[in-house]
Amino acid sequence: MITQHADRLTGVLGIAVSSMYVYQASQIEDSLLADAVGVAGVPTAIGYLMLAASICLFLKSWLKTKQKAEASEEETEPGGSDHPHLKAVGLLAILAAFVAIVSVFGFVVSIGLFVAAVAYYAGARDVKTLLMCALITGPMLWLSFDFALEIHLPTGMWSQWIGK
Amino acid sequence: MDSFLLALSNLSSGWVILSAFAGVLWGIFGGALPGISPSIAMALLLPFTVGMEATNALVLLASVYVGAEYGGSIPAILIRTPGTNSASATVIDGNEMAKRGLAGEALGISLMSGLYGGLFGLLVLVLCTESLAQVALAFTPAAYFSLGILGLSVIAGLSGGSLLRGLIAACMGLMIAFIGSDPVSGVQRFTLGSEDLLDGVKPILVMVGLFAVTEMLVQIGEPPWARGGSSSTRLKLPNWAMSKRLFKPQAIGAVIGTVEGVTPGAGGTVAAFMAYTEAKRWSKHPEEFGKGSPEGVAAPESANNVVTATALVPLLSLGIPGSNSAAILLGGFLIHGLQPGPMLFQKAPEVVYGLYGGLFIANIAMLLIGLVILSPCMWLVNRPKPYLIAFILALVMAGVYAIHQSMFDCGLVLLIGFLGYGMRLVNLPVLPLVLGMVLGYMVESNYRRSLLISGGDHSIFVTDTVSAILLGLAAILSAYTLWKEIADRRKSVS
Repeated sequence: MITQHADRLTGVLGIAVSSMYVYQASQIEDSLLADAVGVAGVPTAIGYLMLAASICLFLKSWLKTKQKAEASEEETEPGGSDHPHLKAVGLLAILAAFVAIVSVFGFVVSIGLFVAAVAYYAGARDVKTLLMCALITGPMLWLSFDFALEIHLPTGMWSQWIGK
Repeated sequence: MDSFLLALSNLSSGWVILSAFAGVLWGIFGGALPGISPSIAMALLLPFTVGMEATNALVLLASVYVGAEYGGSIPAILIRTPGTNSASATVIDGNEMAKRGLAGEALGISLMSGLYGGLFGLLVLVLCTESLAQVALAFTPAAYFSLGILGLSVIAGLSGGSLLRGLIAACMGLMIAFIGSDPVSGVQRFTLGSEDLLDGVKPILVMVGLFAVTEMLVQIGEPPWARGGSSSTRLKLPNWAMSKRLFKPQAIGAVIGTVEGVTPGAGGTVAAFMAYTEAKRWSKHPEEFGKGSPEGVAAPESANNVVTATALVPLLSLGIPGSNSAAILLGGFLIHGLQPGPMLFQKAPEVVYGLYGGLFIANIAMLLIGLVILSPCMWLVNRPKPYLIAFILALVMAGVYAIHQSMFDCGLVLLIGFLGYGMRLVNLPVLPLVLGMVLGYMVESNYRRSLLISGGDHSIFVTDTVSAILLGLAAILSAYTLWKEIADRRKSVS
């Protein structure tokens, strides 16, 4: 992304986030134990500081005249995918789906499905290797955590059979 | 003397030795994989250290950093792809040596220079940290507040290239730090009604999300890692004549690495390139640089390994992490209920000296493992990237769940990973956010404590001498960063 555009976007998002933050801070009820600064004092100050910095960044990028040199400042978009940001959002969706299904299918099954899905999404096409990875990763992590580290991973719908 | 004996006793502790070797091994593998920086390799292990004894956990994490710096040089030399950013300078002459059939020699020089650098850095760490911490022991709450402000202004100014961007990132970190209980009254803030946020957002989750998840989101859209390189290459340690020739560039690397390491926000990459440039300037054979000069490998490798220890000086003495890797190590301290800073030497000296001892073992482990690790490393680098991404993310999810056995944490880490991706997209630096988050409590609690002492009078921050000096330094640094930004812009216009 061109630096100017990035700064402008950062400025706008910064203004929005800090405004919401200052509003949220104003909603905090003070405690009887609170000191002179108050519970919301420091967060409010930080909110205003970010608001001021965001406005400055926005104005700086807005007022700056486009320079010829910036033509060469175009971000070198990663060459692996035509839409790297879409790819990232897709991966995030797979991760979110994993978080959602763990309570139902349990960790071992979910992580197997997750590994296969991520590897396939990232470009792996060898079905045998994909299957092998999916089948190995779940039990391997389960053994490492449940037995070696004694941290019990969620069992989901299999809990009545496993007895946990 | 007691401290020395304490550190020495760790050298014979089986668990410390095991942690150091395991950390170095993991670090070399992580460092060898392009896209996996030392901080990511450390972040991946961070959740697994929760159940460990504090010294072993910290030795494990610090050893990853040591191993990763050497690991990064392996693909840099063999396939012209630096495994870590700080190995970028090694590519220049290391790969030229490999092209001339001297890959084994280049790797040997890298390993030995890393060892000397690491040991020198450790010496600096041991000599400087405690005395600096002794000075900081006399700090009042006002001075602590000002120290936090100084730390934030240094990182905000130096790590982002723009004061405004650094400031915004630092504010974001502070905002995250304020989620949860108020340090004075215990009132809940910014929890959005969620019970899972009552204790605030744990730094470990932010670090894993920002470093590991963000990097995988970036890597999925990038081309496959460069592959190739002969796994039959045999590492050759430099002989006596070569060692004598390499002494000067290694010393240059050691000095520059020390200065850059203790400076928050500078780090191994800057140190490596500066060391390369200076080694060329002081060399008897500057014409060989860029064409496969052994000195061109020795200087940057010595410098970036010095940084693995010297970057811990501000962390251990003042509680301020100066680099991403130091921030992850700070996370390691926090999850074991330890707060790095001057009081650490009073409260848990065994951990600090254990860490020193562990770092010494880690450097020896780097030499021993480095001699035999070449083939497995190249095998790993040549694995298809999709499976590595999938496995790393599986490890992240399992590790994050294990911390509090909560899927909410996994969701939170995804959200933070997405935030990190967005920050990378708009060129917002991550380190100020991490620093803001870990210093948030220190800044706010000491600010309010100071005002309680002074009866609400803000002049306490300038009447306290140490506080006034620290605030003055923060102001000078911020003004310098602004001036530099303006000067750079004028230069680019003209």
